Amino acid sequence: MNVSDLSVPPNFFTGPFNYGFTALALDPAVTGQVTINSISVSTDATLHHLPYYGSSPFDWEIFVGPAPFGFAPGQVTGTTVRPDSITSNAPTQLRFSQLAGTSIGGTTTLTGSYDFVSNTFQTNTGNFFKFAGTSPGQFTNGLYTQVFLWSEGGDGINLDFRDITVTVTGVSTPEPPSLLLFGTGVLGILVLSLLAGLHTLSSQRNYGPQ
Amino acid sequence: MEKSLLSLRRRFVILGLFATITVLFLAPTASAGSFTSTFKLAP
Repeated sequence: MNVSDLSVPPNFFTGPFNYGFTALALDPAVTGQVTINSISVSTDATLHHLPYYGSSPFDWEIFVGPAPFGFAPGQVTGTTVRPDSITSNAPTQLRFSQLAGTSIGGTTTLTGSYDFVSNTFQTNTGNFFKFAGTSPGQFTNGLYTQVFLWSEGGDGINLDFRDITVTVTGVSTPEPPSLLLFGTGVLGILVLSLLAGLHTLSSQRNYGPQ
Repeated sequence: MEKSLLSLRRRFVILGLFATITVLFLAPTASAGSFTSTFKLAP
């Protein structure tokens, strides 16, 4: 995935921009009431052009939730739509900027993580934290995740990303099968009704003709 | 006598309903567990 911003200084944020959305991933095993505890990411970034100010900032946006986020996976090329104008209402999000190295042609492995329990944020290179939020929810079809990578670094900043990995941890309380619950309830009522019926018969015997 | 038996039957039905509702509320908390989902995302 290529991320670049061809804005020409002194003008910034004009583009054109290259950015991209990863494939939408799904873990169908995570269902029920779900609480997200942490998100960790990693990728390999190759720098093709370093801006004049000597660093290569780009942005991570990681979305996690019970349904797709509405972003078509794939590369967006040569657009003037500012990437920071693209927003999501995913119930769990992590957004931060990170520096991708200074060696042109070099590849840097980048990592980042956020722990929602202790509210701690870590990266292996310089960063600027933007947002982390999560809210527990009901996951019916599984856990979805997708990553959006972009830069508004300007001056022809140009990065290629590969091997993007996301790890999500949390706690899930699976819903019991509806049929099992229904069956348990019906069985309980039947047993108690039967007991009531036996009690009635027993009472009639006691109060029969003497 | 009829009235008393009817009342007893009602009590059992109410108890049955109560048991059902208890199962509904308690069953989901019985199997809470942590998970780790790892994804390798293609661009």
